[in-house]
Amino acid sequence: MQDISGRLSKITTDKTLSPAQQAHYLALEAENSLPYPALDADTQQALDERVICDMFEGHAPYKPRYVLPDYSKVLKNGSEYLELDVPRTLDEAINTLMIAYHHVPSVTGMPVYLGDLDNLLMPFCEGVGEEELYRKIKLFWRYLDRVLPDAFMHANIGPTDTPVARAILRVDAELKQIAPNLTFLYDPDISTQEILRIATDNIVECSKPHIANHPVHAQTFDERGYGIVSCYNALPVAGGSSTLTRINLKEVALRSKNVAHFFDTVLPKYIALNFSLTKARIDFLFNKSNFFESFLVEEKWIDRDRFTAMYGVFAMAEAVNILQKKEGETGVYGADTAANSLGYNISEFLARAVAEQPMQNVWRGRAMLHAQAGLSNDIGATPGIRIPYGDEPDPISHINALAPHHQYYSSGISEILTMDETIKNNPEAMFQLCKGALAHGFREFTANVASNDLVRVTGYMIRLSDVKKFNAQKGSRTNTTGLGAEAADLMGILDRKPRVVGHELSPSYTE
Amino acid sequence: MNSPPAILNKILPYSVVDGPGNRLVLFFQGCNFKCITCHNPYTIGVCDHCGDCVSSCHAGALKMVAGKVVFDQDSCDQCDACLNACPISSSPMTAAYSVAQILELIRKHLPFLTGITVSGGNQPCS
Repeated sequence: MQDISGRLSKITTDKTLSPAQQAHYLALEAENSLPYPALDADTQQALDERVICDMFEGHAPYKPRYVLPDYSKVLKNGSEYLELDVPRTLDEAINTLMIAYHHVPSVTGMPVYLGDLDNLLMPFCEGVGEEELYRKIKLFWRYLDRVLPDAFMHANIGPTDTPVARAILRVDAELKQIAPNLTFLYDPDISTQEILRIATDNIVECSKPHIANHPVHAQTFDERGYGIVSCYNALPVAGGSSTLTRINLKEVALRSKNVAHFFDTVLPKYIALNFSLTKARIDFLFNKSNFFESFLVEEKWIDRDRFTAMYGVFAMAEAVNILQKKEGETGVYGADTAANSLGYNISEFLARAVAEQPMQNVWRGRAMLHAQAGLSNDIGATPGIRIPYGDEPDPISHINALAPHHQYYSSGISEILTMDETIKNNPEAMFQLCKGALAHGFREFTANVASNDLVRVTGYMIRLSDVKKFNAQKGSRTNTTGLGAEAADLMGILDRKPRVVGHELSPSYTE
Repeated sequence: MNSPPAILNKILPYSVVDGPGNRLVLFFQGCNFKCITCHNPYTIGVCDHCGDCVSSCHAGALKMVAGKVVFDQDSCDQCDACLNACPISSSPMTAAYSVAQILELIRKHLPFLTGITVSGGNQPCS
């Protein structure tokens, strides 16, 4: 570890970073020079050993990790603080949103949620023709990618088949941009088969959008709704998540003598320590930071009672394989029935522990379990509950092996299915696989197609051609390319068969 | 149902290259055409249990039991040496399925399937 002035100096002279990216990393270093919220000795030790992890969110949580504003408020009421009149036309509505996004903080400094855009914009579309709508959305999309270049930024559309949703899908496939990320909420009772087919054809074209299982998510949340943001995170709208902490299940398994010891002693210990870490961070945000004094609360974009705590886990695959070995069993995670069942038991155990722990300043008084999709420097630990790269079976066996986990991870879980490029000649297969996965209880369907330039890393998009340029020391306009490049470097994602790895973000400056 | 079992060389629950959408593909064993351009000539013959393949198997996945060639899938490493040893263009790596078993398999995969493709040998011969 260098001293702080050395690190700051490195950032200010790094030619691969833009001034805005430099400012972001400088701010992080400054925050991290402050003392951490007080932790007890056991929690501190578990954090130092990285058995539990705070995603390197920073020492002084002065803003929630993810903020999902209810943008319908500013579209219906305008904003006194921002001196915005109530928009009347589609141009005014889009312009209002473009301004609003700049005032929504998150862990990355960029908005992670752009709203359920079709529902927000449809009221302004009366008398707007298809081509006119297409042109306006296209300019809007270009603005988002160029001005807010972060692939964690996420737009939602669906479940209703609307002209706005269709225009967005058309533009997204045409432009093939990294940002924004996109989720189509699918409900077999509401969505048309035609729009689902357009969405799955888009996946074949550009690996976007994700398809979310709307009936499953809708049941998890309430009438004010939910949004899918960043990397497959399902969170309450008009709220979000204060923090995301996570347990490295591999490290827990390594500290266990056998399966019984794991369940009876070691896992409960680290579950409790991760709760204590979560609590310390939430206490700072709610009791010290003054974040909720913001106009966002005053003008009802967000509600301080609607922030959950994401309780993450990862490295399930390694944990199961380690425990199997300690029991003298040979079956591996993903392929073997007994190994898979052990995995389901761990998920169920975690879900019960989270449901039983009351939390203050957390939506509904309970945290939400999350299969965390990784950081760029997670080495030897598979994201969430995924099957390790290279060991994946065919897509259907893959879905069958993992589907039973999905019921437990209410704030998000994900697999990325990689399809051979032959599917480009047969896009109907993607449509069918998507429907099959959702019918099996998958909360999200996400696929990459081999040979696409635009691919998914964890959940966010990168262009492989950008990674090549980045590595040639030219830097990148978009924040996530650097993360993809780091992942490519550390984990060899580009050498491997076309399977995208997990790492959600690169949370601190690395040379 | 008392219909005779079918001999299947392979079942693929996921194929995007055997018809529109995702197909479950049944590769039957046995064919009366014997085309010289056959893509999968080892699906032409039906095993007569001569046993010539057994000694070719380095993995020990093939055994003669009571006059029949018995195949152990778990030991097989798919080297395909048995296919080269077979004098009648057949394969010992097959399994017999009843119609009910096939239907059960199809039902299990139904939400993923656009259709079924029957391939490999010629169905009435198997």
